[in-house]
Amino acid sequence: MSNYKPSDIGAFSFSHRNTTLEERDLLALSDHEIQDLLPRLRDILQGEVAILSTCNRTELYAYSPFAKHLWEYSRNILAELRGVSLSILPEPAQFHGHPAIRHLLRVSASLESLALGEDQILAQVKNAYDLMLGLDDKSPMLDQLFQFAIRSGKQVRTDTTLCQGNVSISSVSVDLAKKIFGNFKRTSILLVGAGETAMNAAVHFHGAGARSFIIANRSEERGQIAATRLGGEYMPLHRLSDACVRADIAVFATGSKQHLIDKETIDNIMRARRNKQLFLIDISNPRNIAPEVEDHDGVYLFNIDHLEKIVAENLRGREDQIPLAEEIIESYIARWEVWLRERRVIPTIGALSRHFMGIREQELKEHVNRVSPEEYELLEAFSKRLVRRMQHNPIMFLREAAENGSLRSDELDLIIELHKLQPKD
Amino acid sequence: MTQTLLTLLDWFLPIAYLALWTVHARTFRLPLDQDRPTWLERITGKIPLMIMLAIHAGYTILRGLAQQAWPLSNKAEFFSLLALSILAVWLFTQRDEEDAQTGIFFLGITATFQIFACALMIPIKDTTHPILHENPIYGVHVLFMVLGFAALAVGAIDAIMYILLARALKNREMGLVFQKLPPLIRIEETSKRATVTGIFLLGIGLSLGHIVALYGLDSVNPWDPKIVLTDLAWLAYIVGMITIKLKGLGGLRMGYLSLAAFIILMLTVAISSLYLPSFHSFPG
Repeated sequence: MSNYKPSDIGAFSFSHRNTTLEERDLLALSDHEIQDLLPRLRDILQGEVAILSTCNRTELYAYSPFAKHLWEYSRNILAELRGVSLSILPEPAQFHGHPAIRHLLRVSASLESLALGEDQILAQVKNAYDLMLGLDDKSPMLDQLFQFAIRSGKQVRTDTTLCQGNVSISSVSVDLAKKIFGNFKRTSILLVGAGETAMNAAVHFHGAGARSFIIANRSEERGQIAATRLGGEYMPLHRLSDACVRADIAVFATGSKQHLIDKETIDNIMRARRNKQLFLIDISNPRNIAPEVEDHDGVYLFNIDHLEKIVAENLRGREDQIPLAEEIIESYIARWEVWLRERRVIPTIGALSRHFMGIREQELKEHVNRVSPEEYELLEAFSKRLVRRMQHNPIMFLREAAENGSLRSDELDLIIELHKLQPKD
Repeated sequence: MTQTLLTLLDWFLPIAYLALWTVHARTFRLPLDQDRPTWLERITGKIPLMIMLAIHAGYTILRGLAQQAWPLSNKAEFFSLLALSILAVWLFTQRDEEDAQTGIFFLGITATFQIFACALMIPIKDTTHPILHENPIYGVHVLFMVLGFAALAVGAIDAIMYILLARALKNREMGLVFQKLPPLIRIEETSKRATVTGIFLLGIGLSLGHIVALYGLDSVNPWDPKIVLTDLAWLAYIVGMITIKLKGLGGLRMGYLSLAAFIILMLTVAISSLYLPSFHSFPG
């Protein structure tokens, strides 16, 4: 460890910044594949390796004197694993030393994510860490680095609002619905249309706990398929008003060129509902719901423009948090540096202490049979105090210099050389 | 001994309410989707609030026992009863909820009343009370009246929250109101529950008041303007609730109606207390 060089840490990244979706799909690795790859790469590099792979990013991290060659070694294995030629594999973005450390911390904080501030990446970094810990051999340097990354990621999430406010149309719709209905245990969701957009919204509501779905669609066949998929009920489109009376939330996503709900229809629906709240989400283009519908007291209407505006605002809110998040990351990089310096100094302190104690024991041996037991006891106590006081200043110097970063390499070497120390990692 | 315990509780109650309010305020500041530390969840849970309710109720009973009369003899005792009633009603309306998200508002009101109570409280030996305060039915009448008004006040505050959130949703403003208030349907339920409870308690309170007036007092004008106005305001509340039920009024309109009804009730009480001659004086 005392021979640590910053350039021994390397990161190789494939993300939305430098690859296409197809390339990222090709490089995405399962946990099983990572578990298989890690020991092989460790052997080749004679160092530590970690792999982070998500649906949108694959990254290799190494701590080794050969870290800069990681991609050269791993690309052959990956090409073989995927059964493709080497030329198909894209070139990674490379980071070495401090930029590599900063990169991992930024990834963990979701500053590097396609959707800025998305919440899943931290769990994925933890997963990469767990996979590395699962190896038989230890990875002390990357272990610590990943711990710093996870801690900084958590702090960014608690101390900033970088991850708050949803940034997709469907998740914003779910958020709004939650603000009206709380949870979806007793909430019925009507999907008007059974296309990809409607189903995507349904998946989000299902993920948030919704279980009661009604699907109203022009084509019965498609509507029935969607209903089966969601465990819901199909209703023909001409019974849309009845469906709206029964539902609490209605998502409109059809290709209809005319309004499916107008002022008169909503008046009848709301009368039948006894004015119980109705949340209408219109994500169709052109609109399926007449704008006057929202004049009704209990109707909350959000169309695609409204939702996109909220998404844009949330995204802006997240972007405003970037400087704060970066400050947190820089503070962790500073802590990482302190940790590194301490790691370097601690073995030297241990060796210094052993060195002085060794001299003391040698000298005491000389007097074992020359003095009385009582005198020997006095000598023991005296020598112990003397050695402690003598080593106090150099040890304090090392500790303080390591903490405040003023320790120079040649100073440490001088202490080692002066006392002929042999620091152990 | 009893006086020492009461003095200790005089100080303990406002401090404990303030401490609880601070914790609820801290929870309120956290984003709703953020995991709360376990200790914070425990403190803002129902159990500490139930304990506070029990201690405060115990304090009120002890005070009553010590002076051998209902503890309604002065402003301090009235404020304390008001604080207790608001806490009790609020907890009752929140009984189905996992967490009491509106604690910042209601505990704030409770703490304020209890601070006033603490500041104005006088030792038992210095208190005097009319003989009427020893009448058990009179005490229950006042208790139900205070609880009823507290419930209607809680319902009105919920109605304000409902209006604010509904308007924010209508105007698509995703600011503080949107972020911090509980879901619309939950506010609507607690508002309804508090209002119905208030009407019920007030009904009992008024009935008991009539009984006390008829049988416990020497000379009472059955058409005393203050009593008639209060009865009418209560009847108006009932008519309003029945209309809402029958007509299926909901949403914002119901919020405005609840709020307007409470304002009218309070104005009626205030005007009748200030300007109308009556045998009856409201507490204080």
